[in-house]
Amino acid sequence: MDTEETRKTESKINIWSLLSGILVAVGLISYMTMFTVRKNEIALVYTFNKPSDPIKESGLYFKAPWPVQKAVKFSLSIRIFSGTFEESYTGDGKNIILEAFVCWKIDDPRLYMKMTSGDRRRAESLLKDVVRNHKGGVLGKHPLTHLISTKPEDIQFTRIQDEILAPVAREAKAFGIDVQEIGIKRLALPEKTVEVVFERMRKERQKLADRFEAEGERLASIIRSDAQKEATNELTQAEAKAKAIRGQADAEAASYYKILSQDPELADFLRKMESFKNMMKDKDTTLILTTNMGPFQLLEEAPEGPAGKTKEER
Amino acid sequence: MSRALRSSFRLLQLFILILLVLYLSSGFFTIKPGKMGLVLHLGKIRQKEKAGQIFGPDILEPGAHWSWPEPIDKVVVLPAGEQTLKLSLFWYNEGDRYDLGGRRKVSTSLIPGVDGYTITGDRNILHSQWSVNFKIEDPVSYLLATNAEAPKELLEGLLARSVVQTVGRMTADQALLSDVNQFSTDVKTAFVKDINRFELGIKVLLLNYVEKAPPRQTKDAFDAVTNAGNSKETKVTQARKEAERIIQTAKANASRIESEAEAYKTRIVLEAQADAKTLSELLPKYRENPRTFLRQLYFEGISEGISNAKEKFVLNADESGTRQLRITLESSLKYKPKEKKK
Repeated sequence: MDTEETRKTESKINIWSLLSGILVAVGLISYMTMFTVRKNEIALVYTFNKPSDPIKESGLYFKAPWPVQKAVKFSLSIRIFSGTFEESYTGDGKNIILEAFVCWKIDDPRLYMKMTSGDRRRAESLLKDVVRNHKGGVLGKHPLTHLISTKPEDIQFTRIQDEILAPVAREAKAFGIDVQEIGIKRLALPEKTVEVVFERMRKERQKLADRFEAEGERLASIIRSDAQKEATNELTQAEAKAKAIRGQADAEAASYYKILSQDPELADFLRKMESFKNMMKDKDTTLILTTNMGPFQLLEEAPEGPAGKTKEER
Repeated sequence: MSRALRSSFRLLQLFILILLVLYLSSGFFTIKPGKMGLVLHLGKIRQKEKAGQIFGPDILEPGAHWSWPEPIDKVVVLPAGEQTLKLSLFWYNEGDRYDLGGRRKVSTSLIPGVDGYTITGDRNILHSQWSVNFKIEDPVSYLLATNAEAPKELLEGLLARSVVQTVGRMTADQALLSDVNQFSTDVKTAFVKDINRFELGIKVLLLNYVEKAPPRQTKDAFDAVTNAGNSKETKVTQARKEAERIIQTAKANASRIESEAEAYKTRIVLEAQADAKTLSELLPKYRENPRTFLRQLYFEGISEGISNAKEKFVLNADESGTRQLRITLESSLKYKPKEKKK
């Protein structure tokens, strides 16, 4: 009875220990023999340092455990680095510093491993040399105006980049590298040239300042003389209009003067009388008369007829 | 014996169970707020699946999630929110170059690689600072292009190129003053084009032309231009004011001249009319007896006139009809007109 039970227990233990053993073994073996290749990744399986064909499809793969086989994975994402800062001469003899950035990715992992041992820094220093070799040559074929000019038709920015890219990309193939793009990141001038540029900028600014001053004067005087012109014009027009109105008035009045000409003597008398009365309407008038004038002749003798002088003082 | 066996058996059971639980629970993870996640299942991006239908990549939102533990699955966490990249590549080095007095020393030149700047189309040197706000719009493209490493260098390179290329066609004045908006729009256009070409899965939200300045070494000259520009403005404004005054005065004078003419017209016509009317009325009577009528009118008029005068003096006429009379003609100055002599 006792042994029976023991046997049962023993067989149970055997099953479980077997199971656990298998589980651990499977875990260990799978860890040593399985690897995944991600999307946009490439893998090489080395059998005693001899690489396999690159594995490009993403998924789960098997290999023999280390040290027999070893899997190395490479990311196919874009890498970028910036080149060095050094002077080159343009086609028109200008000294310029061009810093380029280089976008690259691994193209042939076997070649890449062979040339760089998978060291990114080494790959980039190789590329840097290649870029340096071609940058100067390409710049030497272009005047500076192809890079900087206010005339859009001069600019050949993209073309210069492409001209550097073409030979670099060709040579980089030998490293298993695909150079995708070379871009101009910075343009600079040698220290000495910068001082010259500063001097020119100062002169240009001075010129501009002088021009502004002169322009101010000129514009102001134009504005003033325009105003004068307009004012004169305005007055001339008004005078012409006034003249026309006066003329019109005289013409209109003339029709009445015709009536007056029926008896010029009476008309003349009436007009004189009218103006005399108007003059006398001023309340401040002081009148000095002699007795031989107007109605005051009565003071001397009987009237004989109209005559007299008036003297008026205000 | 059996007891010992039984207990070790239990222990083994427990051990295996714990191992399994630990393994499976290591698949739990949380995505923090402001992040998003993608799961790579056996190297492939896990898709959102429902009843056998695929709804595109399974982009994980913040919260708790489960995946198979590595190496079966791999979780990639990416920032979900807005990110900012600052570009100070074109700014001068404000570093610790001080003179003996402790003032910041401005050297006479700029050192390549130390002091940043751009060169304009008219070969001026300018400093500028830029920033770009972006977010990951398409995490799958982003992951493929960058391998989940923030592509700072790439963005910086592309942005720098956009600036260099754009400013190389502009004049210093355009880039600094007159076409600032156009400048940043053009930079943005070029930058966005590059980003799309590289299929980075990034959306540019905002591009800022943060700061701009002429070199400190030429600041005085630039300030002089600003001042000259201001003085030009002042001159023009003053001239405009003056012009306005001149024109307004002229207009006032013009309308005065016109209204005077109008008044003249009214007066002349009315007078002539009145004269004509009077004449026409008086003419029949006058014709009856001209002399008497005239005299009558004369004396009526004279007396009316004289009666209006304030002061009246009647002098005796001498033989020759002339007399000497001294009068002070300053009554308007309130002098009492006393000294009138015969």
